[in-house]
Amino acid sequence: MAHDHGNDTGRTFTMARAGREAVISEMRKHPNMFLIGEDIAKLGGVFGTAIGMAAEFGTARVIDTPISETGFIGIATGAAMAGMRPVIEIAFVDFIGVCFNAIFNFAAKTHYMSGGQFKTPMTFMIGYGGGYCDAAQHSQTLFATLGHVPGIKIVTPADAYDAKGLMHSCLQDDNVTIWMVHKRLWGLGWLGFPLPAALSEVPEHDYTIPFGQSRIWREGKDVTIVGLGLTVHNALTAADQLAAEGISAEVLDLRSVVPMDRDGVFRSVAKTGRLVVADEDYMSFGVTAEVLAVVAERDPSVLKAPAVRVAYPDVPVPFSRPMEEFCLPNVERILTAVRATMQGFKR
Amino acid sequence: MKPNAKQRIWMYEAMYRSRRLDDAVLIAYSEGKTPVFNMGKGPLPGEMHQSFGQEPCAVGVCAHLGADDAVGAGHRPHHVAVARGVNLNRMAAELFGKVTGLSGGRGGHMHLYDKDVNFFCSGIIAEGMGPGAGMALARKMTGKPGIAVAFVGDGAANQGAFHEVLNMVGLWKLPFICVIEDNKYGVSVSKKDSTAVARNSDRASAYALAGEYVAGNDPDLIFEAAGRAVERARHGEGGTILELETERLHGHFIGDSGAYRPEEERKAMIDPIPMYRARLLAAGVLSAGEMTALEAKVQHEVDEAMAFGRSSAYPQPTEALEKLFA
Amino acid sequence: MSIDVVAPQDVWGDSLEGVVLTWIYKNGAHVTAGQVIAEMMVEKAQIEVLAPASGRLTILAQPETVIDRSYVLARIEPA
Repeated sequence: MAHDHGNDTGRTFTMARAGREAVISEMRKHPNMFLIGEDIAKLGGVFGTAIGMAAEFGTARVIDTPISETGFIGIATGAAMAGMRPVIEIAFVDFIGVCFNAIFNFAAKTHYMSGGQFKTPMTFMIGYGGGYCDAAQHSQTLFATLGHVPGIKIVTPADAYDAKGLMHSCLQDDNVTIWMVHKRLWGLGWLGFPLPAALSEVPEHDYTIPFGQSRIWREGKDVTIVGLGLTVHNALTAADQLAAEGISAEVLDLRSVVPMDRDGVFRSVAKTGRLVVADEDYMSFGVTAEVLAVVAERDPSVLKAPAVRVAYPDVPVPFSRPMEEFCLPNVERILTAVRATMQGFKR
Repeated sequence: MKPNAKQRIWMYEAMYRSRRLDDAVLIAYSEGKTPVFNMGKGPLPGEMHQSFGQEPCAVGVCAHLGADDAVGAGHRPHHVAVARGVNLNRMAAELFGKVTGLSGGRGGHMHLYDKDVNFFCSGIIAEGMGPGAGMALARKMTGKPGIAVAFVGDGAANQGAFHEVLNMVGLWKLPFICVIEDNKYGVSVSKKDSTAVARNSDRASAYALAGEYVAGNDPDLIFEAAGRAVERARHGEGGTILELETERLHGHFIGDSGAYRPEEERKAMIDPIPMYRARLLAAGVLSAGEMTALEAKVQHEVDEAMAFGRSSAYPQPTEALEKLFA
Repeated sequence: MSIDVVAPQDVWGDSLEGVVLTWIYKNGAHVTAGQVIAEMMVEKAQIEVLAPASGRLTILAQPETVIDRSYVLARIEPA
């Protein structure tokens, strides 16, 4: 189940451990890199993003902050402008509300507004997603909110191999980069047992994965299911079931929200002729619409059926389990969507 | 420590340069905006927040700063930029939106950046404080010399970023100074109608910082107090809230009549530049002839900068898509 | 003479039960003393299991196995 990329030491990692390995490697190489955020030095991060780092690098380079996101993200931006490479822990993407100005008006725009004089090499580590009853203010996804503002690169790996490669890419990039992981994919026991498909063998050496490059997890010829993060795994489960029904589904992992692999998306849809997009972010004004726009703008005649979006409905995340499960872009909803595309156009 | 003659002359020259630039900008700004004031028209479009009356704050502080230091300003940045030594030609060109501007026209009046002198702006109130403190943090972490100063207005002292950042400055003993230019107004709302305390420098103890208030909008007094704050920062003794009484002689931006201010209050304001000029002459720091020569030299620089701005080319429209990412 | 791998003994507090989450190395792999070879949980805490010796790993407790402090999670054949 775990995707085998072929490696040298036979180590199977969780996404959390893979991400940490990348951070530790870059921290060892770059004395001007440091971590800053809440609960990272003593606790190692709420989602384990910084375990062991204060012990190795000291609290001067792994900085626990007060609950002051606007303040410390502004501070990190200034440090980046002055030649440092901050790595910023935000834990829950929902918390961007208390620091959005610092991100979208200052960090994202500094390189542009200064005409290239000041770079802001900053990487955010952010957890997102729900499905474990954490309710409206701790379960959001918000790709669209962050992706909408120019000046930020956003990636969301769906397995440990990609987690490490994309983290290296983020840390080596001189811009504002966001490395976002679905909370139920980290491999944390308290959010459910690690999903086997999110575990992967991870090479010891450093490697990068380019921004804007999607990944085909499973080739198929009847329908393209585009997903990101956890919806990739839901799509894979759906694809197994569809195969038993005689439907061959191709599962494409966007991996990169900004920049988005529009060519990759179109290539796949042009091949299969059917499109289902699964995204845990709110449906309207987001990633699913952006994917549909790729096809509509280039050549909608490749479609043999209307495209179908499987996204979070436009409501806040409900607390109660049956309601929350209803809203999630789960396997059942993806199956229903694929079967609908197999019906073609109703004319 | 009081300023010596050389420092006083430097301060006057920087104030005069800022003022002559603002005078020229005020005239140029109205071009294309008559008979109907349309902010988007003319060679100097957009909002324009000028620094008339606040020049002493910039020079009294910047007189102590050097190449290792960093300075952030807000939406009213001209006097701070000039005092910091930002390239005058490229600053003027940036105001005109020309390709030769500091940011090639991408920033404009509220977003002036000059990496050569570690100068930046924030168009959002108080949000330049974090980056300023971050530059202080970078110096402390790397053991490199230098301090950071962020200039904000009295209105900024009520914004969340102000409190969050100052707490961390106090907590981590960062070499950082928050200069509050207290012109007593946040656009139309007076300080006493917006701020629970009479003195924002009194808030310093809430963050384990030093706090000092300087009355009078006087470059010499500001110089002395700023000197104390700078020494504190340079010697690892932590940060300061330096609150400077000043006067916003004009409205919030060009086009704001300031009619919300009582007439007597507006009439009572004193322009600090003629006041300082007279003081330097009376004290014999400069002779009348030297003063005239200095002012002529500065006027020439400002004229050249404005001419450079006007005559430079606009960027190609497609350049809008460049410089998003490094 | 193979060496038993058990959970760290100082993480249990008042808890009696833990659970195995993942193995980093496969059954039969060679591990080095001190390496993190597995992750487990006691209550909410995520715990790393270190190899007590170098050698060939034989896994006994698969992921999701409920364990206690004396459970033998694996054995290492020194090499």
